[in-house]
Amino acid sequence: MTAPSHKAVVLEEGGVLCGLGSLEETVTDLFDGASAIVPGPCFGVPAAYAPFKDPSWRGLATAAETLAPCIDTSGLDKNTTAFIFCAAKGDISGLEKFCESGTPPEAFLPLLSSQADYAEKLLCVPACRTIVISDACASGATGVEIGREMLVSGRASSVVLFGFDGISRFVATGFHALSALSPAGARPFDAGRDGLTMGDGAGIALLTFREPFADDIVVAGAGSSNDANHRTGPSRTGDGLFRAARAALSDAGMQPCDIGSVKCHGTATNYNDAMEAKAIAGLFGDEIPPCFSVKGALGHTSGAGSLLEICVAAECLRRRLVPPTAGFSLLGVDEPVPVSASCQQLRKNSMLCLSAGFGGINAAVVLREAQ
Amino acid sequence: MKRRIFIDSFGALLPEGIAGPSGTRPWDAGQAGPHDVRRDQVLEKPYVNFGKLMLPDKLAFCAAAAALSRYAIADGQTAAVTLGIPAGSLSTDLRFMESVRAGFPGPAVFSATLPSSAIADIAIYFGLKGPNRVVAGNAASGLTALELAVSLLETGKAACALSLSVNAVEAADAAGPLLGPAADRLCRAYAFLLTTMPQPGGLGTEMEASFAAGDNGAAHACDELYFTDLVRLLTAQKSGRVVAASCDVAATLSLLKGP
Repeated sequence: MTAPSHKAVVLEEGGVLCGLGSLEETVTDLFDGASAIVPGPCFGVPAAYAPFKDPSWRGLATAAETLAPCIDTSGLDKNTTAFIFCAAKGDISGLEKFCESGTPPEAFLPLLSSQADYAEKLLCVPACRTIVISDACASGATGVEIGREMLVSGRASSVVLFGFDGISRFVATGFHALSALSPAGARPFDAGRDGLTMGDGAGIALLTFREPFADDIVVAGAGSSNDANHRTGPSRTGDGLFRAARAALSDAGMQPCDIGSVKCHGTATNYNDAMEAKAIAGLFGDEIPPCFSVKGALGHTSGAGSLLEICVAAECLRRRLVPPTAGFSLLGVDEPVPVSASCQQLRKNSMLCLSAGFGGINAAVVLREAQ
Repeated sequence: MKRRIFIDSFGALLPEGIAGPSGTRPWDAGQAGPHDVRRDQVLEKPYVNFGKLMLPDKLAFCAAAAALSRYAIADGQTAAVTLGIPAGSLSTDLRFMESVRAGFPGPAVFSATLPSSAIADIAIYFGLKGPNRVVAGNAASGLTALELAVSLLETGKAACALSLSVNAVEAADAAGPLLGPAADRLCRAYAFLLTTMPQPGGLGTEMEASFAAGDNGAAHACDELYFTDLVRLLTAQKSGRVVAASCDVAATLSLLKGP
């Protein structure tokens, strides 16, 4: 008889770039209640936004080169490493230039596949294959779920995830046309919330499958679902997000009472936060752990955002702290969700990360600190 | 224990017509191919959103309808949707940019500029509430979507999965220079209903699939070659083997005789 395997999917290293800066800067500033949101207009649209702290990161190339040192790829097996590129639209500047001048972009085509190949080259990932995932604003979380499946099933020995989504005229005018943007800035779960705030974002993470050491952050489970309800709006009942969260807990072999905090999707649109509160209340009943959203500080960083936010959540878990929700002051949803208004201790060693996207897509990831 | 997986239905929009379990119906006179598909050719009842669907979404929806309009997924089954769409929503992106430049950006067109848009109406119309995987990678995106569908069934995260492969570039589209020299510019769409529990009246064709990392030296076999062979075998209800290799994924799929 062989000893039972205690291997787990380990989040070895990660990095982010966003309005508050690097991962270290972002998490430290989040705990201080800082926000990267600045007043509009943004590409002519009367809305606040959260641009990259360093404007040079707005190009896919610079973002990839800046994030490359965040993970150590030197020991990865090029025959069994998968590279997963996650984005809703990615870097669409080439498409915009083509539409203005008729000249095709030189570095990479605006197709996500072309962006992925370009990023992989700059990151020097020794990968045997590239998978491009575009599950709207849940792309990064779906990528983590797929990476976990590939590692557990043995189809990969390590997985590098990279996500990039930048603010552009394309995205700004689109969200404005949908009347989804807040003029002054996102206020997740707040009674005065009036829409989302666009944010620039990029993230990188390295996942492996091994026996974890104490204090390692593991991707304990992941689940996803579709509302089957509306093209852009979330289900009014929160049923889809509830099912994704329950699937993630089931995948992790955990119960709701094991969760110490919830990293919400928390876009600050009226419907998303109302739906999410219902899903959370349905999952946890009367024992809802502290919940937070980073979108009042970083804005909504789209498909890359769900990867970026998982990296931020992992760092919060490592520090055993729940950050405040910037922009939140008075609860504006029907359920008694304990939205974190100030920095507080995380009392359990696990965190539930929720994401949702257009098309009714929901994704949930459970992070746990190994003991 | 490894789960047995069956292809229980399929639909395809091909240059020669609409293929499904009951055979291939040629395009009507005046229809040039998949991009001209009409709702009544794949779905008996009207669907209020059909006329608003952008090209990638329409092709995906119609392939799904060809596979599912006469197939009932059992109540309570978690039904996943996976989609491979190599060019993403490029055609729709250009339409949206046209509307931006005209000063009237369209909200409905904007929401369709996400590659995942193509699964939204399928999930809504057919009530598919399971996981979604949208692969917008290279020419073998459909193969990867099939691999991810098989993975969802093997892990038990879904009881059935509709796996789609859509190529939605219009021949006359201004997207030409943005696609690169190797791009496949023909419209096509395939949908395969994979399940661990075949239904009465379904094809019940058991499949065994293996996927591996591709070979950088391999020919860029694209989804078309692979799925055309697969449709041919399914239409003829024959056992057989389909092999594909691209730079990112190599796949071998064996069809066994039905239960």
